[in-house]
Amino acid sequence: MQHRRKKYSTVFHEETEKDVLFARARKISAQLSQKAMADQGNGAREKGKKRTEHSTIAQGGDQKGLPRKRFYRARAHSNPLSDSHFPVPNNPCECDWKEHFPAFFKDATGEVENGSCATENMKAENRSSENGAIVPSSQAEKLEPKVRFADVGCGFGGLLVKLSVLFPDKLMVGMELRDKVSEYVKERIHALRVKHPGQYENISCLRTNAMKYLPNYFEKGQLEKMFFLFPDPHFKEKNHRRRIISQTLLAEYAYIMAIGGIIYTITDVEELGEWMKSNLDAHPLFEPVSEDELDQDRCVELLSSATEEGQKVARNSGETFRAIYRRIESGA
Amino acid sequence: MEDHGASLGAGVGDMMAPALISVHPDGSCVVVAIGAGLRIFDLLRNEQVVVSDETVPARHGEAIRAISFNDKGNFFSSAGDDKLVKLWNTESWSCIKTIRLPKKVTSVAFSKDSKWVLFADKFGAVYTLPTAVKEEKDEPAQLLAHCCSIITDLEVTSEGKYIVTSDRDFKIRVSVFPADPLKGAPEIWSYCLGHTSFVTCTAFVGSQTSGQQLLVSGSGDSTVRLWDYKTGKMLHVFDTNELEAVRDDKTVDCAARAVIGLSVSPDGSIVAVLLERFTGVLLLEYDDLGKRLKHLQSIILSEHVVPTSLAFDVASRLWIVAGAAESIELGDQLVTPEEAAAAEARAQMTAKMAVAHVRLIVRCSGAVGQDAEKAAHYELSEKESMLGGEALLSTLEGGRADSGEVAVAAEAAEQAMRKLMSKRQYTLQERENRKRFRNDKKFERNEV
Ligand SMILES: C[S@@+](CC[C@H](N)C(=O)[O-])C[C@H]1O[C@@H](n2cnc3c(N)ncnc32)[C@H](O)[C@@H]1O
Repeated sequence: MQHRRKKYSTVFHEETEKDVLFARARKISAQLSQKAMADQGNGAREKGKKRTEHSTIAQGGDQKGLPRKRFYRARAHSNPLSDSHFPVPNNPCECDWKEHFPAFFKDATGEVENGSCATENMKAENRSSENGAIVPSSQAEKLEPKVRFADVGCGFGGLLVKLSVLFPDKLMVGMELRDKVSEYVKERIHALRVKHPGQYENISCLRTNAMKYLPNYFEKGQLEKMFFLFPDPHFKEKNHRRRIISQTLLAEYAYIMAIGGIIYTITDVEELGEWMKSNLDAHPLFEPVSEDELDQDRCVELLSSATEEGQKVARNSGETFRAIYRRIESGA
Repeated sequence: MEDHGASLGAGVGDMMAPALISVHPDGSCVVVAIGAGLRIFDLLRNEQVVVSDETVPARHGEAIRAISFNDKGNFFSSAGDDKLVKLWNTESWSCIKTIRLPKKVTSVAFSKDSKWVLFADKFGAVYTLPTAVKEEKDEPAQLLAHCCSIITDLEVTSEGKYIVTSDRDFKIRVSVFPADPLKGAPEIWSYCLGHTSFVTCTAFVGSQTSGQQLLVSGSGDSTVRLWDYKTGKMLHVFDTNELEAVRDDKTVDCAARAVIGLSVSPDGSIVAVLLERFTGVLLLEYDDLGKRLKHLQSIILSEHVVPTSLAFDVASRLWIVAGAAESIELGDQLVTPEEAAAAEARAQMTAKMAVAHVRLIVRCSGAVGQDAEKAAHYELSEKESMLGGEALLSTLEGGRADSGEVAVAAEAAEQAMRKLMSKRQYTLQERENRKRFRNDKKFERNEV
């Protein structure tokens, strides 16, 4: 526990703009301010320099700027197997993506009729005959844009921020179990949108348990990319079933992924790396992506550099282990 | 710390297990499972069937929670809280296999080619075992699993291509039946998502030969829903709360009732529905063209009979059982064989004494004259003139059932099901308290 805690208590990484931006006053920071005050002492000791940069914000008043991670400090772990107490949509039709991506739904008809889920399902069913991934016509995508990338256990959202500019036309969502962390990511994205008008409109974050509810958010074959970056290792054997990659869960990921879609995993824990690789190898609906292809893939280098966890590992020059696989058609 | 099993474990000890009923596909015998006991009546010979079991352990030691025949009727399987799955040969009624699983079993089914028996456990996993008897020891192979949910029902579609599993987390999953079950069922074909509470049971409507069967499901949200299971599309929602018969049932306060059982007539046109704490049966008609469910008839049994399970037979007769037995929890600490034997004997005893009501609803052939339109019409059989007569009743009901007693037992069974299915609701205060005693929280507090 202890080492995990420490991990998250480092103040949000340097490069995230020293600039102070205009953003709405944040309810959350207010709620947390008491805690933040208490944290202040520790924070100052650890990174004296940065403290001065942020102190204006911490002193309350008109709080402006990017959210600071320390206000959103959360429990290091949530048990992904326990029952949750947050709202979950009943099925993908009930997801209100408009709220997450208002800029993308501006021209959309708005009315997403109830049967649309089934139509997508039908498409998915026919996809084998169409030979591979469902490539939504750009027309359809415009009328009713769909989330195509998911960052599972997105943590503080570093990957989304990087991917956003690389793939400005793709909607992507981070899924995070810890409430405060997901709130932080939402604030971060909001601040980025304010600072860079017209940008970062394609990323968002959801608080959810990805081990339980992915099919509630995504239809069959919807996702083109799924990311699992530095997932919780759950070292103890009896906790292996809490791991985010397993045969059981891969069946679900295969279901929501388009044929040809790519699943990216990376970890600094060798044993977990082996585990993820062997699980992917064992699953008949995934095959490894060749090294050549990986060289061409713009996402690959982000795996170890974009996220907070990745940067931390890099700072300590830790080794990383990745497994990148493609969703393939069923052989049967 | 907050593992799935643990959160369910508490309070399970005082549970009642509802009686179950199943009819041989050719209508030759009726089975009632109550507590740890099986009661079987042969309708052709008009006598009780005595089973023989030389496997180990030779009897169920805790409540049976699932029973099923295969389509051909040559196999039968029983399984339950004792984590045993028993496979029976129905010609000799001898047990040909007994295996023990790590978790309690909630549901059983057979593959359409009868080569595999499938069973689901309380940890959300589905396993399979070949039905053929082999020399070497059988190891069940895992087919699939729902992540951290209880599987409540398990079915194989009539064309044999899909496995349908429903769970406590409102989900119905449709998986492709694999070419080699020993390698698992890794391909999910669709999800049927729409129920707003736990799903309790599933069945299929429409004619089997048409290849156009649809799925029906019952849930704690008191609806029966109709699905195209291949696309996951929800076609119709039938809300049982809208029925007068349900609203008027005065036996209990009128909180929404969970749908607890479904059975479909052999031609696929009638869906019989059981509700929690409801003293009758609802009959819905499946409209093949409109893809809808329509209310056909509500049959009220009697004030005290709260059915717990139902099954249509090949002649479209609907068999109903009402009853429950105390389910005796052995617990995992049970060590010595003597203890196990004693507990098993006690469970068998309790099962023997448990009383059940068995009722039969029959289709009345053709109304005449202007009523010809309403040809489909069902009626409760008089007990005196019931198929199987006195012999059947004394076998399946277990002595003369006192109706009051059965009602109480059934009520308890319903409550037990509630407890099992609904997630534990904590008040805010309780949740805070629980948090306070969590180790990781303690750590944070100390630090602040
Ligand atoms: C070690 S962190 C890595 C975060 C981020 N990917 C990075 O590289 O910086 C793992 C994250 O996954 C989240 N997580 C764990 N289980 C989850 C689940 N079942 N659903 C969603 N998020 C989960 C945790 O809360 C945690 O923030």
